[in-house]
Amino acid sequence: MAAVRSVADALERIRGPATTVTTYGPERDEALHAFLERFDVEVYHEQLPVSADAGYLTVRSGGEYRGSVPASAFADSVDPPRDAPWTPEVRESGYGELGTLLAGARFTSLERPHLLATTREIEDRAFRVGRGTLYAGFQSLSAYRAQLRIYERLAAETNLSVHVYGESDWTPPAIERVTVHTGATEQGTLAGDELGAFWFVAFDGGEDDAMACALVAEEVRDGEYRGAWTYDPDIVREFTAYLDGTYGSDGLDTGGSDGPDDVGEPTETGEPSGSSEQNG
Amino acid sequence: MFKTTPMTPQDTLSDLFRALSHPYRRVVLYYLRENEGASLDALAECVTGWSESAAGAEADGDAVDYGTVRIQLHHTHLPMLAAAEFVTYDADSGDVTLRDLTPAAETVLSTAASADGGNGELDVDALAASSRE
Repeated sequence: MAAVRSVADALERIRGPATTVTTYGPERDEALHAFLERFDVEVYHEQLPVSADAGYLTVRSGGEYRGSVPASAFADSVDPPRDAPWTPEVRESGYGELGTLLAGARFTSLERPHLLATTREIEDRAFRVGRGTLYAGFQSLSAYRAQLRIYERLAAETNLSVHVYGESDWTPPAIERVTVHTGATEQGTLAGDELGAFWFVAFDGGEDDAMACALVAEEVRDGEYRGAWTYDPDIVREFTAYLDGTYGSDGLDTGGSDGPDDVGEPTETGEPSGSSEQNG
Repeated sequence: MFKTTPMTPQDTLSDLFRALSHPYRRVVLYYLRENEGASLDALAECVTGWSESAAGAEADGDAVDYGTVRIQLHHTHLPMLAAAEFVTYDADSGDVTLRDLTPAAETVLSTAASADGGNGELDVDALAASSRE
């Protein structure tokens, strides 16, 4: 695979085969269908004389059957939990089931709650594996501020290396094994303004390819994103190699302060791309 | 396999219940009643999803996979439904078409659908009525 040349290029690489979603049940679940229509997938409904809670959906991709999700998980799919990554709400969420099956499918319009839920799944994978490298692009560091407690715990309770990216509108406190990259140099901003434009999260799997995953999303309108996520370890590897190569992997380019000045409690307000609905 | 010219009403009902004794065959018929016809692939997708979901998992405890379901439909279940005159199955093209069902079959299927679909208990009265037809 050729080297990834930008975050936008990484997103272009995540392009799975054509995907079809079929729902089965006594009637169309309109909220679920509205959610699925945010993706570049074909969506069908088949009447089946079962009770609404006995319905389900199936996903087919590139002609292959990929899996199913029971109706009991539909509500989580439409309105996913955004709790901290290690919580039962995230681990037992039905959102993950559908999210896994939609990997590789482009979404054309998702808002922050769904991106945050997908981000939580990736952070939880990293937390569970406990080693390897987690990359998180917050667009602006003030969004990282709202997630600071989560990342403090991720770093404190695992052997993960964490790289945080974002335009510098807040000076984060130094956290061991968390490296902050703003892309700013004396010559100007690295790689244009991609750090401000893209929400991304990637986990290299910690030597386990099966755990590698990445989300790349571009903010196309205020609060509205297009993008995709993937479990393809090759794409994740190329993407993280690009991030390391462009922004550094050694922490020399730290946007963080060395001292605890301006460290106050992370507020729930300065969060353009994170959501305040986290309970870290 | 199935008698094509049943001798008695009891034979008719026994054949009917035998044809409907496997959940895959019932789900195929539920699907076809909404669609008239379907491809083997579409039926395999529907049945696999049903088996994996809560309603199917209760009726069919073993783990399933799409490839196995598709093969079982092709080799076993669709030929049985064809022999019982519920469907026509073109094994070459994979096309499955629902035939006209007898009133007894309609009643039994509807009652079974209610039970399979998590709508409640099997409606024994409806079944008893159908057996008297």
